[in-house]
Amino acid sequence: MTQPIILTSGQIRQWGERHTPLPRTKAYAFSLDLAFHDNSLTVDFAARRAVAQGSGPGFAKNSRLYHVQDEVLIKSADGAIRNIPQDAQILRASVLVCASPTGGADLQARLLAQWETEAYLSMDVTGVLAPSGSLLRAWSEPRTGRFDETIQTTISVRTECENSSFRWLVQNQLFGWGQLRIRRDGKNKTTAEFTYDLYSMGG
Amino acid sequence: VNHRRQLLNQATLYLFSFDVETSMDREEFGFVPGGTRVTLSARPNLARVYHLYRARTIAGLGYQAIAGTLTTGADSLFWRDDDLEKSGIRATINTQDGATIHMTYQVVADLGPGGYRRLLSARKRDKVGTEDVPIDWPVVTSPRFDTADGRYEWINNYQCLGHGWVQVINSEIRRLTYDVYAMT
Repeated sequence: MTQPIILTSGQIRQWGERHTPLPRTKAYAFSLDLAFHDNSLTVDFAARRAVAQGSGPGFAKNSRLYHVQDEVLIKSADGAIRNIPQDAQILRASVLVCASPTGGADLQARLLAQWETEAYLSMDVTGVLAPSGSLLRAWSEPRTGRFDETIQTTISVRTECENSSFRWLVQNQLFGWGQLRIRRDGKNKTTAEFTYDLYSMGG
Repeated sequence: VNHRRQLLNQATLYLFSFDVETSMDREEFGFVPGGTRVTLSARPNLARVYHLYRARTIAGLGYQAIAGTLTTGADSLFWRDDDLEKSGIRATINTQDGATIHMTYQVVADLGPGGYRRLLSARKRDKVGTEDVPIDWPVVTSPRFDTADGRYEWINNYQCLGHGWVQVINSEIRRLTYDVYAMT
């Protein structure tokens, strides 16, 4: 269900340096989980780069798009009622994390999600991992022993989908607040779990 | 299905605003696969970066506020033939205290039904906006920043979001104004 934007004139009363912020709205859309395991993680500790690639049933089991309250319709930031890809499985994902000199890290990712059997969503993700002690420890931690760190991360998401129900996702960027949890258990099995809440923005 | 049932913490913090008057001599590359490509640039000395409240520091972060001028490297607009704009913008902020900050952002905007055809139409009656009744288009962007200047390198660590308006007259983008927020 897509709604055309209505073009209006004279929204800005005065152009030039303003003293008041532009109107803005934000609305929760849906959440995104990605879970990578041992054999899908490659970390270059020297170069401070990490690559995570996931696919197959084991990956899709814990990697999905969902609404925290299992809704299938939401009100987006422009006030329209929208379909969301509730319980869509992430079929494939590739995440690249590169440390930046200022202590944080840049994040780029590409996801392919499937909603029921009807729609594929291709998502282009860019963002950051916040600088923190957790991130520094993740880059420098020893390769054995237990490890459990959580890092704050924020992203922007651009989507392509041919299904008209999700046309609004193609027409709007989503913005995500979330966290990355990196764990290693006593058996030296490592997991990297990304979880985000994605919001639509409006003016 | 087991999944998280509560929302995570999220907030935005205002960083700065900028206004741009665009140059009329835009570079039109014409029809390319999937749409049309156009490059815009800013008019010299008519692109400003400022703080809405003229504050010296950024509330919530404590860093020095960003103010100065803005020069565009290239506003590479891509108007898709399915009435969408997906553009990549590059600009440089020259702060009043001599720092240089590179800004990039991606634009995703709905051109509205028939918007692509109207933007490219040669017929005056089909064009978007007039001098008397300009069209103000809301746009949301996702800026990132790069600088090596120690006073501002904190901004490298933030994914930001921009709320803006674009003024269109005779299917030409004349003015832009944005508020930029850090996602925290």
